[in-house]
Amino acid sequence: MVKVGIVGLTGCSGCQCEILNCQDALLKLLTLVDFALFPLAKDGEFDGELDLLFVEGSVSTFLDKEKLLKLREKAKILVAVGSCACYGGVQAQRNDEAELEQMIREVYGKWELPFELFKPSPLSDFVEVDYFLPGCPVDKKQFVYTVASLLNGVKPFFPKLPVCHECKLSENECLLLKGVPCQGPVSYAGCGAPCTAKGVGCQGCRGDCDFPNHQEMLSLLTQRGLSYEDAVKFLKVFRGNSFKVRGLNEKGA
Amino acid sequence: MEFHIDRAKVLPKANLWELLEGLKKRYKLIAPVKEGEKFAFREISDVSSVELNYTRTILPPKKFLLPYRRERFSYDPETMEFKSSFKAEEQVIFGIHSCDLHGISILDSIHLKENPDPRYLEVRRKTILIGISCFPDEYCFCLSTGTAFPDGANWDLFLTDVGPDYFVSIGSPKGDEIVLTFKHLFREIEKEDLELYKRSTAKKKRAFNEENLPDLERISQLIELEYDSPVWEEEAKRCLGCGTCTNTCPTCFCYTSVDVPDLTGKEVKRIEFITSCQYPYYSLVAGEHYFKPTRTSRFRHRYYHKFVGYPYQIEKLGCVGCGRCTAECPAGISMVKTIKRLRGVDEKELREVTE
Amino acid sequence: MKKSLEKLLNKPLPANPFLPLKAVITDVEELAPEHKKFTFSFLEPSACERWSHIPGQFVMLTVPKAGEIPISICSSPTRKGVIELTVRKVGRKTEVLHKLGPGDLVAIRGPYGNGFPVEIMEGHNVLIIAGGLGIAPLRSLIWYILDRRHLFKDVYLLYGTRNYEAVLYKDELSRLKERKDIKCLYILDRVETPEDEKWSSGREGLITELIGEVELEPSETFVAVCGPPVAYKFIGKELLKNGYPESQIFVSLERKMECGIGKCGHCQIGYKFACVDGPIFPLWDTKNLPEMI
Repeated sequence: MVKVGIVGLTGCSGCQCEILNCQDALLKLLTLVDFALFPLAKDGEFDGELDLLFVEGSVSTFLDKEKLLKLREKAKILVAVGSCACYGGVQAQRNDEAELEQMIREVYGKWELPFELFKPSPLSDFVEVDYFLPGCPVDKKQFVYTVASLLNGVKPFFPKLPVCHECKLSENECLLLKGVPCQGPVSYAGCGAPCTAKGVGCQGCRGDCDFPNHQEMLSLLTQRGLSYEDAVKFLKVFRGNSFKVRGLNEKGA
Repeated sequence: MEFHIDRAKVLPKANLWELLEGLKKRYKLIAPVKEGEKFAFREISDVSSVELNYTRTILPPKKFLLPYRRERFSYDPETMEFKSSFKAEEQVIFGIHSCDLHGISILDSIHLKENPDPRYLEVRRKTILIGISCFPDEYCFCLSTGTAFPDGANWDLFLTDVGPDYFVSIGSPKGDEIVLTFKHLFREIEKEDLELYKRSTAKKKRAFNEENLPDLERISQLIELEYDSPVWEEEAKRCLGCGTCTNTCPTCFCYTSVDVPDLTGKEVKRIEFITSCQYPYYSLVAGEHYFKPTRTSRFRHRYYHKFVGYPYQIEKLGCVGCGRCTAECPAGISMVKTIKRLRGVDEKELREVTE
Repeated sequence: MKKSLEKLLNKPLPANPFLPLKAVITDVEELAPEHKKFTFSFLEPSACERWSHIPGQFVMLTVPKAGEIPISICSSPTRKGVIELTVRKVGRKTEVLHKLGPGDLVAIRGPYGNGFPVEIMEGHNVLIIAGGLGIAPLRSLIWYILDRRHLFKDVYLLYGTRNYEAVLYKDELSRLKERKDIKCLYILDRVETPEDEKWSSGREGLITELIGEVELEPSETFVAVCGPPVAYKFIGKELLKNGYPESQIFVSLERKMECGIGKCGHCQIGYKFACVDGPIFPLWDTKNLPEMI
């Protein structure tokens, strides 16, 4: 039986909960695979080889790093689940703005801690990641599709369409046209655009779509009342410290 | 028939609701409704929600003929037996503007002429199209594309607002049947009705502002000759590549298909979903090669396909002047303005167009 | 209602053009690293008999669970009963295909595209220029011509690839070299090993270098070219320099294809669809179709 692991590093465990919410698929999966390692849902230790490993959360502590390196060695396929694992997550959004010591003193009041901490980072900073499933939380349908494809020996297909695609096809009123800051045009779809359907601008939790036009996005956001700095911060919320404004001379621009 | 117009009737406005009720009883009724500040074609449960005076819906009625996501078929990967679960439903789409009717006629040419798609044909046969007249806003340019009036299109009934009544043109045997079924709601044409009808054409024509209209004479040649114009790159700089222009277009038809296996590997579904030429992956082949590698090439491609590609394929422009791509573009890119810039209209005139 | 539309709507429901036919892999041959030649046969004997194609056409091959891929046919229609496809392992679908072997089921629909204008080529010289994997669709043309040799005048084959290891159809092409009714010139990008040396008789360089050596009357010659996208510009230029008329030079082009029947839009080249108006285009079309090569 295929051995599957689902583990979390630093994060809210929301993605793992979302996986637990895939009820119908999980019931089927239980007959097809062995969830050898799933600390959130299952007791017991497992130290063997894994065929498929899903990792949630960012690497923020020494413990995270140790765990990740050890698991990578045991896993044939590693999938980063959620925006923390893919990009560092919301906790990484100000990585480039403050020193670690300053942050820790601010939060804990002292610099000395029982274990080593570092700036929240995506998994790919430490190990090779085979597939990325961003989202805050991860999208259930996309998770099931990924599992189904991999179990069938096929690589999943993820064209990085912008959120506008799903939003427009759901026939929502365009929030940018209404003056609401929205990152839809530069963010990676797959979520089904639930936020914009409820009138909340896209926060870009799934990161960039293919070849995003950040410059035009920033100019649209500033036209809607944000300062340039705030607009950049808005785009950085989920994109983490990996974010940079793409120039128009770059590939695909 | 007194005036030799045996293909038209008059429907007093007060009778319209009863007609809609009657249609709803017989078919799945689809009509425009107001949602927020915009409009959308929806399946109607309460006919009083039908919006008669709307400008444009966010999405064209295309979505009821070509769903944005559908299963082509499923197959068993062991036996390679294919099966289709496709089923078409009898439906009436009410309240379609002339531009969208022309859009459907373009889709008809694409899906029914060469390599006809039996699914489209079945849906199309089971769909009754009832059009309604409209007045242009600042984004409409159907007068330029020759789609402001429903002549030669492919509808069943067309309602022209002539004041107290609708002048109802009958376009097909199916349309005629509806009129017969509800004949108590219609009356014969009088001489005055005809006068009013004729006047309504002139009235709509006058409602266009010349500045909002592009000159589409020899547009195919213009786009081909201006292929290397700097205008493309200048406009493309503002393009987000979000695909809104193509997703809201009544004539765009591109889609991608992908095989989705289920968890057990016993069934694979082949899913088709609508896509856009503005997305980079659209031209991506295995081996990481993009045939349309730049934003400019993708931006230009849409114009090129609309004004050069469609005329080559189906001998009609691919644009019906509905104005959706411009009205819905988050970056405010205007098709009319781009065409005017390619034509070399001077800056002053240009400012008047955009302001 | 417009008459033309009435006609369209009243036609009987056509067969579903998307529905493929079941086929079985009968043979797999490893030609070079990452390149395999698959031989297919339809399960239904009548489908095998009905099948015919024109060299240069392609099929849509369903790789179970992975999806459909467009692959040009490398077997000749003069050899009945089987379809051969040469596939490079390059993406997520071909990877799955490369794991399949004899006895495995797939599905095929087609043939699609226009193919080379073989009937117009009859009575003329033919110059075939292949770069790398481009030899695959041209192999179909080569055998079509050789099997009907009397219909054509002089025939040349120019084939360039990376090195001997990357040469496809090694045995077949070596045997062609021995034949008197086709003149073969082979070249390699790099000549490093004794096998390389033997294959190209020490010729190292680009395929364009061979064009000047062809002894054919250009105005009496049809040229068929297939190679990597970057090569077309240079090959085209060299052919024109040598006096071959651009309306007699036919290139086979690759684009993203999803449907094969002009419905999905992905394969547009200028105003044409590579799947129905191509994939074979006269070089003259570069004037019409921007970004064609």
